[in-house]
Amino acid sequence: MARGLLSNPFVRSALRQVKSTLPRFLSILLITLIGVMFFSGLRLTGPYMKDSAERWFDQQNFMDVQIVSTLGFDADDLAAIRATPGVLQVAPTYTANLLVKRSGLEMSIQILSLDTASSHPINAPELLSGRLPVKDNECVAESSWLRATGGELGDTVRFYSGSNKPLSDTLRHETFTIVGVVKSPLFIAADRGNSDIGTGFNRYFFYTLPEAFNLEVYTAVYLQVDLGAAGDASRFDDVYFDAVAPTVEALKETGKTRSAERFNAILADAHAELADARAEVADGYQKLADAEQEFAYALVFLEASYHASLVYAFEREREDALADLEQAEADIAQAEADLEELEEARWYVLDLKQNPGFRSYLQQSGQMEDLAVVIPLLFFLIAALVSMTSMTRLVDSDRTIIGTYKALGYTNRAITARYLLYASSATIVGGISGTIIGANLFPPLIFNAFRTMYTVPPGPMLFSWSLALLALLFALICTVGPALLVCLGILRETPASAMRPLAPRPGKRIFLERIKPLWRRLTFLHKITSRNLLRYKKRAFMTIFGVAGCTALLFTGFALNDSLATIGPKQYGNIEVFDVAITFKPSASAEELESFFTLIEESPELATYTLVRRETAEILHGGFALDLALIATDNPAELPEYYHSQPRIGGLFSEALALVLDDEGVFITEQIARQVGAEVGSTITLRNLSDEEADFVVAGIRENYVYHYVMMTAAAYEQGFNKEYQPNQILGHFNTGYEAMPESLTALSAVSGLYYTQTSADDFATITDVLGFVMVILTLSAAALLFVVLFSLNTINREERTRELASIKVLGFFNRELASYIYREGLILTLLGIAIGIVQGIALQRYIISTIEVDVFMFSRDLLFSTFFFSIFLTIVFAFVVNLLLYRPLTRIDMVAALKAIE
Amino acid sequence: MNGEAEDVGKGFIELRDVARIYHTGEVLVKAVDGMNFVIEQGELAIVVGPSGAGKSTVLNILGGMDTADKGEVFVDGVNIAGLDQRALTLYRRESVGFVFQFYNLIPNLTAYENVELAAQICSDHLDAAEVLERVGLEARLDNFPSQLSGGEQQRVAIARALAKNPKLLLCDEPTGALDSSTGKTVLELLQDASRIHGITVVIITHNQALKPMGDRVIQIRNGRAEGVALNPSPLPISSIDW
Repeated sequence: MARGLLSNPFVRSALRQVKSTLPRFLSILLITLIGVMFFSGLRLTGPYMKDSAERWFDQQNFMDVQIVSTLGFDADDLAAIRATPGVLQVAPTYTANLLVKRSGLEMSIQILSLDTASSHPINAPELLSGRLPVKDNECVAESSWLRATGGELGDTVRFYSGSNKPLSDTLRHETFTIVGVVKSPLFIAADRGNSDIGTGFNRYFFYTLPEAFNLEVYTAVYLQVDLGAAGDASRFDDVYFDAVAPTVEALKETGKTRSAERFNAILADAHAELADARAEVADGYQKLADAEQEFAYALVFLEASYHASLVYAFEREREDALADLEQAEADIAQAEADLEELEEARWYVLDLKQNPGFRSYLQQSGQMEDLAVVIPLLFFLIAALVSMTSMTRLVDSDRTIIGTYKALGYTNRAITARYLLYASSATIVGGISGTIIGANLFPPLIFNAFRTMYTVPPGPMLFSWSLALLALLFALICTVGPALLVCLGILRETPASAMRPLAPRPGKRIFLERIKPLWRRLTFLHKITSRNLLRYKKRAFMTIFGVAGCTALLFTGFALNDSLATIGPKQYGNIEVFDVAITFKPSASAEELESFFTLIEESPELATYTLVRRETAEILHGGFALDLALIATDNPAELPEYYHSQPRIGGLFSEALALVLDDEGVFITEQIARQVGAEVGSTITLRNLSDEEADFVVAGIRENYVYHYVMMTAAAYEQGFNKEYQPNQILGHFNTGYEAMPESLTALSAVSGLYYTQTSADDFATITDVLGFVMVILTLSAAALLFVVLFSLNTINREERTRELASIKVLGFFNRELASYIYREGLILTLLGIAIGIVQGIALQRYIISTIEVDVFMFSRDLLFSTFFFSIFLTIVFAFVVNLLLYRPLTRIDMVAALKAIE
Repeated sequence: MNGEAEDVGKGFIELRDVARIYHTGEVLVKAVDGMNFVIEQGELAIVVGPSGAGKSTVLNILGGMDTADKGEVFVDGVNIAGLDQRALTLYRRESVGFVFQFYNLIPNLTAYENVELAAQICSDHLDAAEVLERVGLEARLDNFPSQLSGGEQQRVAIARALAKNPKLLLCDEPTGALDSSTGKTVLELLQDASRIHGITVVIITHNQALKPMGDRVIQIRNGRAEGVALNPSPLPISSIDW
């Protein structure tokens, strides 16, 4: 069969054509490959990230909803939750925010109880090594804890309550043995949520047995929801959240009912207790009165000599009893007052979007998908354009052959089939290999980079038939389409006219010639070049568009890389200009505080310092809340020396531009302004960790890249939140030569945190490396595409104009002159393409930044000189290399053959 | 190139045992084999023969567009068969003018510019406008090739060749695509180039009717010069008919 096919002269001739035009065949194949590879590879990356997470979440039985309550959950609450429509599985859990000490410093952590009751527990931590706890003094930790402490399995960890409540109110033991290492779907990113103690946010998590907790009520409930028809929907789909929403609403209702019931129960209990207490006090007074009476009787029968001492003793006892009773009365009064202030429990019913790890993963995989919309499409368009041009040229150059076949009596269908075969074989081979390479190369490569930030394990490779077929179909349209059109166009002519080659395009005057003063100034060869540029409009357009597209991609790659890479240096070099932040406890004893301040005053390390209050708060806007750091100062003039504050003026930082706070308004960061749509003069609402809300007027918008800050004066703070301003942090500059505070500082009990700006700068470099890596891939692919584009277009240009070039060669042009004759056009088109590409690149970078910006970081908008330089320089280098590669074929144009052909 | 007196050709042009063999696949095609002839300076030579005889190959070799595999080709005392690519380019640039059957004008240049393109790269060139006037195209200087008739295009091609002030004018079937009367105008120009300006003109044709106009007629068959006839009194073009 195959042999029979191969012996068919028509098929043989088609195969021979592939062989004889191998460079063109390969260039169509290659450009399809690159376009499809990038398209399908990048398109699959977001879905791959989501799919990997989704599989793991399924495996760990990840929750749909989490409920926390200010008063915890008792058995009745749980029963009510179970009875709420839509609830499938309920996992009541003990959680506690505690402190641990790492190299002398306190850190907030969360400890959770394992669900030992269920065979298929919700949020099951995945055991990586060791075993799960079996005793109530054993726990499991995450690997980053062991890495950070240099510890191993079998080590112990000691927890501290971090408040004035003793730890024994929460846990039965103070120290736990670490018996295993786990990771949990609850905590897939470094962000573990806020804590009401310590630094304000949790750094690590631990799991232990529920028996290890000494809590009366559960503190969190994780549940799974009946998703109904959306049962198979991915947790990353809106469909899923829509399916969860009714149950969330129902649970909120349950929460309201239960809160009221709990409140009344607690109130009733308290009133009963108070009544008992009051009865006891009354009883006490009665007893005292009885005792006085008895004593008076007794005195009558006693000798006078005893009187004085007895009376004295009795009086003392009576006074003690009275004091006790008065104290008890005061306590009752206080309890009554407290009871007046007793609030109903508040339930927070949270879906997955409120889980910090899941949320940032959702955002970043979404970013990857956004990134995969425009960029691969641009790639694809350029590739399509070039393969279209290539294919058109191939069929055009074959017109005499087509004419001959027609004259020989071959049917149009048979003749057309030959080119369709050519185009489709190059496209299908390129398209299929592109899909396979793209699908297997890009998603794991990029996902791997993201895994430095997330604990989600990689899933099996994804392949999307619909995506592959779509890409292939589009690629086929771009190659087979023009082949068919050109071929049919030629076939419509008579065989005789088709057998004559196409007349070269006639020359035309160009508009430039009408501008006489300019035209006269051009040298003769420049005139020729200008005219040629406008003569081949289609190819000129292709070259400009192709080069522009690739330059734009290169530019975008570099620019995004800069945007990321400069965040750290800007934030930690120009904005957070302090070297160290020392957090202390304003609640510490006067003695402790004094020794702390003495140490600070006398420290040789610190050159200057200022006192601020820093707390975690949220800005409320519409339905969503954005976590931020609130910084208050009673020395606003000094603050810019530590947190530089100025509006963004294109990368220019100067003390002279610094904004200074006054009591009238607060400064917010640019990113807050953008996210909540605030501007100078707007009013914003902040909520602190104690759920107190306050409104502030925006007085300034600061340039800031990492995290969100609201800054205000102490007076504004006191007025807004109606409570006393207490500084809790020292911001300091080191004297030259120092980079760290002494160990003795962290040993002080008043010190609760120590932070070096340099550490953040270093950490930040790692995070930005990840996205930087994606940009490297983008840049390399753009470079490869540019190369193929220039190569194809140059080759086509040379082939189409062989006769013209041969004529010039016959006239005695040296190779160099010949090359410059044709390269000058290419160079001008390339330069035009670069200029347009830079403009496109700037727009593309803006667009991409606005789509992929993570809410915690603001990407730098500044464009660096190096971005312009490298994108322009690389394009020119590629153009140069391509010209160099094509120089030899150019000098080898066969004059005799080219000129002999009839016209 | 070769200083020894006995090796220098006797005539302005002399081919000695020239061979050119093409390798197409496994087949060897001897386009020219053992070609010998001489043309004197200022002569108008007609090289005539059936198609496939090797005329064009001879012209290509003479014009430095192709190189001989064997033998020597002397032009004005220089053996161009021994020149490298660069020297051949220089030779084409300074010494040779070409006229092709299909004109091979640059379509994107006006008549004037086509001539200027050739003139501006050689040191001893003529003024483009004057040369175009000489071929009677002073009114068509600013026309593009597509706006000119075949005869006009060929005259532009001749002007382009003449503007270089060449020693040697090589014409490959210059009238092949033209009708008889237009062809005559073209041939007259070529004859004038030899008569008036003393340029050595070689015209290659399969058309036997052109033989009477040449000072020398070289008959080519099967890659060899079979006969050379000197014509002491060539006919003016006007009295030739084909």
